[in-house]
Amino acid sequence: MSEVAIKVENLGKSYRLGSIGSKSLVDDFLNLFGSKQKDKPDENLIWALSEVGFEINKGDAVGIVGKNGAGKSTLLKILSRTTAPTTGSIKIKGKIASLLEVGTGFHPELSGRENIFLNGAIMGMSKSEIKRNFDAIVEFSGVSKFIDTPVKRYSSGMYVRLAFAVAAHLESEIMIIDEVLAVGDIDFQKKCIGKMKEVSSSEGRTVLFVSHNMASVKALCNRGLFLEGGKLRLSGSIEEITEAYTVANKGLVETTALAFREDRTGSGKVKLVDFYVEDVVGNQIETILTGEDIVFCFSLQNGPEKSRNIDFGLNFFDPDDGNMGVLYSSYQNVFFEAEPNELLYIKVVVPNFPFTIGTYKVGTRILVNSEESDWLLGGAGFIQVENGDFYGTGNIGFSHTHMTNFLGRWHINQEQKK
Amino acid sequence: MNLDPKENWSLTIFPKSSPFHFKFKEFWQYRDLIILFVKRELVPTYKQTVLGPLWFIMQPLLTTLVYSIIFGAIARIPTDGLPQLLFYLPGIILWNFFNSAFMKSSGTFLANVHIFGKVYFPRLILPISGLLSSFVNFLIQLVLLIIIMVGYYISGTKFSPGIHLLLCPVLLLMVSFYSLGLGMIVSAFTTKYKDLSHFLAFGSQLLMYATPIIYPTSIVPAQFKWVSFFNPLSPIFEAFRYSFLGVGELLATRLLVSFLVGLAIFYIGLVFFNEAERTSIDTV
Repeated sequence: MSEVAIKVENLGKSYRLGSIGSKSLVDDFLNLFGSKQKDKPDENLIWALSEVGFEINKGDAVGIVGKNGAGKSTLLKILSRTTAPTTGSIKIKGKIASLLEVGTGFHPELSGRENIFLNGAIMGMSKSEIKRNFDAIVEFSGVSKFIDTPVKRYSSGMYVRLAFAVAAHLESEIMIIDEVLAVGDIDFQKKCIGKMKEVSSSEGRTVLFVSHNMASVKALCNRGLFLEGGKLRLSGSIEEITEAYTVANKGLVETTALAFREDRTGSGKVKLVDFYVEDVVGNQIETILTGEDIVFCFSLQNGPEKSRNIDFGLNFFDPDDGNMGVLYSSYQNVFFEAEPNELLYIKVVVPNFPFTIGTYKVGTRILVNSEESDWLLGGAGFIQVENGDFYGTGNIGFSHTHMTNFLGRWHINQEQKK
Repeated sequence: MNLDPKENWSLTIFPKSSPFHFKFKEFWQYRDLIILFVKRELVPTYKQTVLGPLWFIMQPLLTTLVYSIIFGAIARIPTDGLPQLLFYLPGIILWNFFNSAFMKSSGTFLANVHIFGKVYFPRLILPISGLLSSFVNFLIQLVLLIIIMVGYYISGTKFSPGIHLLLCPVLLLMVSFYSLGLGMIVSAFTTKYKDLSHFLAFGSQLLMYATPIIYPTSIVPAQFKWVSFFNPLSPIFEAFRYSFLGVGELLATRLLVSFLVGLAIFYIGLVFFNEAERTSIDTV
């Protein structure tokens, strides 16, 4: 028997497009005097959220996933009461606190101590609650030495650490957490994620967790909601949700018929005609998780003559067209052969995919007997990468600050140490 | 009362809530926040200044000095036979109280968009804490007024603070109603029509000159009497000065009207503010 903590029914939120200005003053007056303008459908309305309904049980940790524009932030805003819904209702049992931002209301001239109280109170803590947690907050933030210094003198790292520390010690039955809140240097980020885990697993607490990162959603949540285009597409166990999300995000690989592309050079003896990406099980995917084993699949059309010594190369470009890495089959002494008019399917498994969140262009080049046969100048397509569990530890690292991850084997050389 | 535990929600969120429904209980739960906001307003004012909290009284002193020179020494506006400093000061500190509370509350939505977009708390806390911090300022300035009054009294200037001083809390309450009420109305409208915030500084200055602060009502020419008659602040300021200095007039009926009008404005302000609280984040 589980108790319902949050009940959302038929929730919708519409925004009006265009400017709110002098025209709306006229409209307002017309509305005031009862002109029946409201009867005609307003084509300037867009629905950021519509007909969303779900129930969340007490103690669940719910991951909310969806692409940008899917309505995640709108849902969070309504839940945290910073904006009102247009339709529907939400019923909540228990004290709710939302962490959409850390350090809200921090005043640069006030000391760390004063800001802890101010920020805590803004987020709904009572004075006694803050007092009770004060030492833990200071301890967690690691800025105890500077607690009576105005926060404008803090380094940006100290500032966000203090801000997160306050947020992390909110005592409420329902917590809404936005994952971008994991801040600071790598150690502190780990601490943040750890704290979020602790928060979400603590007894009887309900957590709503928003993230782009399937790895952390999987790690923190047991249930999930998948939003798409302002509607609730799926609600279920976290495995179902992350699966559905990954499968659904197929939109980004270009499916222009490669065979008909004109922007290419080379003899054309062997041409690339198709490109897609699979997971190791053989499902076609369009969103890649960092750290997963990815299969890049290419279809090559051979010309009327038999071709030998086919060397296939691929590379990845960052958004500025910088080359991120090249791999030719010949580097690994692999060459292919094709019968006349044969359609050749080449698959290359890239284990532990190293690139972090972002969209990357995939380039290809085919050589036959070391002569260029086909080179698509505009690239073969794009891949969309989301952060995954690259290190196999659930840690994400500084995924936004670099594009490539690598692993190391760590040792202490006992001989040299003495 | 439904006793079914399933229906025992602690919070419900609906699209429409009546603007006449005030959540005073919730407001009370956040009282700690009010005090912290007041502190947040006051403390940084004198951090890293040489004079520190002295700045709270420097401002009215300097203003009074400027007025004494311009309106007293140059324009020679009479001050009911009192030294200019003494005559101007009560009006100026009361006006400072009104104006500061009014300005703070009228900027509520525009100045705090970044906070309002992220966290919920009863928005009314901000105008109230603006009023309270203005009131703290006022109290400090009141001490200054009393010191100066004592100084003049010892040096033999004749004025008569009377029993009417007991009226002062009521007068302050009235000023609070006006500053909050007007401020909340303006803040609600600025969420949609930002023109208002441009007009504000000018408007408040205009109102100041329409209020008998640097002149006694007695010298207003007949053709302009209606201004002070229709300005509900006039009798409050007159009465305030009267209770401290015993000059000017105390108009009981007009004070009563002012009181009722102030109450009405405050109520209207609450309603507008309540409505704006719901929609502001989408329109600002």
